[in-house]
Amino acid sequence: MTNIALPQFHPVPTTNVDPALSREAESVRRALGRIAPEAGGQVRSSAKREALARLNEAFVRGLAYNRDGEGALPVEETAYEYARRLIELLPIDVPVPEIYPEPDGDLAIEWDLGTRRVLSISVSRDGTLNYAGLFGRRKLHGVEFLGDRIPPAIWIALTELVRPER
Amino acid sequence: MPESGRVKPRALEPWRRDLRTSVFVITGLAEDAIWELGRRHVEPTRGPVLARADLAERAITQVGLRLERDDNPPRHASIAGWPSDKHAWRSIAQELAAAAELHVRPGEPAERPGYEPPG
Repeated sequence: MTNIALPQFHPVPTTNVDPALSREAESVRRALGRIAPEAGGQVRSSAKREALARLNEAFVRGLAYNRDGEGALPVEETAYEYARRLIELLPIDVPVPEIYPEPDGDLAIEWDLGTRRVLSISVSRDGTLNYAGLFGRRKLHGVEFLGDRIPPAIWIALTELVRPER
Repeated sequence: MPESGRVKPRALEPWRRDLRTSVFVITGLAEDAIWELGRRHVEPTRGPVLARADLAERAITQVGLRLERDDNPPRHASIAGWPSDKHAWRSIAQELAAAAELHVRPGEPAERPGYEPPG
């Protein structure tokens, strides 16, 4: 049997930028400024608030060009907006996801609830959702687009994710 | 480094520019020698290696991928044959991660030469 090993790394810290001058900072100000107040007095669950805080943090981390030294693309504001909309649409019983910027500029929303119980949704700047989930022996993956509601295929994946283990 | 004690699928995903995952063949190596591969060939360009994912070649072929050894540097290989669609390769990476075993590097990171805390 041949065994292989892969390195795992610390996340690369983002570069310090002058908040008064950078284009990225202006983008953050615009995007985050819109979500600071609770929209329309809407009450959010603490899990959803936490998810939005993680999204903000991931967005800011993802703004720098080449943040990984491998040519990573910056996350665009529209990807942030679509990701925010997806989080707002999530059912209340879905746990807080991990959120991180991807090298291609997408924002990944990811749940790891145990061995073979994972779901990842990549949100692109045009609202494309690349999703992949592993639930026991069942695999679900595909491409959807985010509109006014969660696409049915992704709803099924979320249902599998939170379904009690059998 | 994963807090879950499990390998993150994204640690196994291919690089977007060539759709290959860089790995080292560790068959027959002692623990110290495995970490030495990371210290010598990975850390100079990618920073401290805190953990690794061990995977049997069989797990790679079972998901339809293949291991291509180039020995440049010695023992280096690539996982190849990934599909081009992001959702498809991410699904495969989830399968591989479920089959992989996480090994955390012994010792505190701060004790290692060249370590700089993040942030």
